[in-house]
Amino acid sequence: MIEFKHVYKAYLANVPCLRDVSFRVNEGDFVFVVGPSGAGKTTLFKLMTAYESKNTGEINVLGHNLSSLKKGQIPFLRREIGMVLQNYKLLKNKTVFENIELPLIIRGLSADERIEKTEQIIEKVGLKEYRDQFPDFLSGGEQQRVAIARALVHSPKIVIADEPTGNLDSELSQSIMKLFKDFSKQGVTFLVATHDERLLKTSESRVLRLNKGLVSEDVQ
Amino acid sequence: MKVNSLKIALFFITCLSILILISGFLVYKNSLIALGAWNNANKMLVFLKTDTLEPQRNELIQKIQSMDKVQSVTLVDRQAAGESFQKSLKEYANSLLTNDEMLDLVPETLEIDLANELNLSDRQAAFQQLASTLKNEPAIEELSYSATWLQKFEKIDRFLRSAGLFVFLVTTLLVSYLISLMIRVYIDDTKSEIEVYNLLGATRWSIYKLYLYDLAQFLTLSLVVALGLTAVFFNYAKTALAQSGLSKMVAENLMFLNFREGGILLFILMASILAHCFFTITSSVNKLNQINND
Ligand SMILES: Nc1ncnc2c1ncn2[C@@H]1O[C@H](COP(=O)(O)OP(=O)(O)OP(=O)(O)O)[C@@H](O)[C@H]1O
Ligand SMILES: [Mg+2]
Repeated sequence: MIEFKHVYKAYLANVPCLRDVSFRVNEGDFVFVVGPSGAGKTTLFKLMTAYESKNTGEINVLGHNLSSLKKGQIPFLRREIGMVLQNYKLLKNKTVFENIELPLIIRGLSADERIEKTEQIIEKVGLKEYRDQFPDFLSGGEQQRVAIARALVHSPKIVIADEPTGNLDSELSQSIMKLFKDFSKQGVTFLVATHDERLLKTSESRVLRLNKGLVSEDVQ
Repeated sequence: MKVNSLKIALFFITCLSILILISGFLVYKNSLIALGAWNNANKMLVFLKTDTLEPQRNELIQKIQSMDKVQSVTLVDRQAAGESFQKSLKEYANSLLTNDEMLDLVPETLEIDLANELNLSDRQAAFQQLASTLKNEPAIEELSYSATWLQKFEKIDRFLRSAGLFVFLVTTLLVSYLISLMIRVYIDDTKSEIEVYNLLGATRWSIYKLYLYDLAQFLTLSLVVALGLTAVFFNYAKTALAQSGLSKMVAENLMFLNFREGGILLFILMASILAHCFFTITSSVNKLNQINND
C-alpha cells in the first residue's frame, strides 16, 4: 500500500531532512508517526502525496511508483488519500457543510449522494449545530474537526493526518481516535502524526518514530 | 457567483474601462461620419446667367449629368434660391430688398452632387475637373465650390483616421491589460482556494473551469452594463446636440456601434483578457502545487 525504500530527502543541500527511511504500511494498518518537532513527519507526508519529491530512493503509494507518476495523474492519486493538515486549509468563504462536501464535488458525485454522505460525517464528528457556520467563526478544535470530516467524507483508501488532535481536549481526541479506528476496521489505512504520548499509550497501534530524519523505532 | 468587495472593485474598473474604450471608439467613428456628412453636403453651385433660356438650360443640365462622377444635378429656381439666400442673410437682406426685387437679382442655380463614395481628395479633384470643363459654357455666370475648405478638411480627415486608429489600439491594449491586472489581483486573492483544490485532488482543468466560468460571467455582466451606459450617454448627447441646433446634420448622422464593430471589439477584449487569465491561473496552479506552512 505504502512503501518507502531508502528514501533520502534534503530541502537544502547538505541539510538532510530524511535519511535512508524505509518502511512499509499495509492495507488497513493504523500507524502513528511520532518524533520531535522538525523530525520530518510533515515531510514524510508531503512525499507520499507528491507535494515534494525525494532525492534518492523509491516511494510506492497505492501501486504507483511516485517517480514515474505523470503530473496529470497526481490529482487522481490525491483523491484516494484524505489529508488533515497541520493548518487545516479550509475555505473561508464556504460553510462547514460546503467545505466538507468539496471532495465529493471534485469526485463528481450526485447532489443526493453528497448531501447524504456529508450529513453523516458531520454527525460523526459532532458538528451538527455548526453545519452552516463559516470556518472563521469556529474554535481551533472545531476547525480541526471540519478538516477531519473533509478527509474522511469520500471514504479514501488512505488517511494522512498531521497532528489531528492538536487542538482537541482529551475527551474529543479519544472520540476522534475512535472514529479513525472505525474507519480503519473497514480497511482504511491511517498514518497519524502526533506529539500526544497519551494517545499512543491508550491505543495499541504501530508506532513509527522519526528522529533527525532516521527511523529510530518501528514497533507493531 | 459570490460577491465580495474585491469583485465589486473589479467590476467598477472593468465597467469603466470598457466604457472608455467604447466611447473612444464612438467618438472616433462619429467624427469620421461627421466629416463625411459635411463633405457630402458640399455641393458645387452653378449660377446661370439671368438671360438663359429654357432649352439652353436643359441642354446644360444634361451635359453635366452625363459627366463622370456626377451623381445628380438639381435645378433650384429663382424663388427657392431667393428664399435660401434670404434665409442665410436674414439680418440685412430683408431690410434692403423686397422679395420681388430680389427675384430679379437672384440667378437660377444648379446644384451638382457628386457620387457618395468619393473621398475628400477625389471629390476635390472631381470638382476641379468639372470647373475647368464648365468654365467656358456660355450660360454660366459663375461657379462656386469651396476648394480651400475641402483641402483643410482633407488634412483633418487624414489626421483623424490615423490618430484615431492609433489611440484606439493603445486604449484597447491598455484596457485589456488593466482588466487582466485586476483579474490577476482577484486570482492571487483566491490562491488559498487553489491550494485547497489542489490538496483535494482537483484536476488542473477543473480549477480552470471554476475560475474561467466565474470570470466569463463577470466580464459579460460588466460588458453589458458598460454597453448600456454608453448607449444611454450616446443617446443623451445626440438629443442634446440636435436640440442645441449646433449642427442638425451631424446630430442626425451620429451612429452607435453596429454588430460588426461590437463583435470585433468584444473579440479583441475577451481574447486578450482570457489569454491573460489563463496564464495567470496556470502559474498560480504550478506555484501552489505545494502546501504552504503559513
Ligand atoms: N519547504 C521547505 N524548505 C526548506 N526546509 C524545509 C521545508 N519544509 C521543511 N523544512 C525543514 O525540514 C525539516 C523537517 O520539517 P517537517 O515539517 O517535516 O518537520 P515535522 O516533523 O513535521 O515538525 P513539526 O512536528 O514541528 O510539525 C525542518 O528542519 C524544516 O525546517
Ligand atoms: Mg509537521
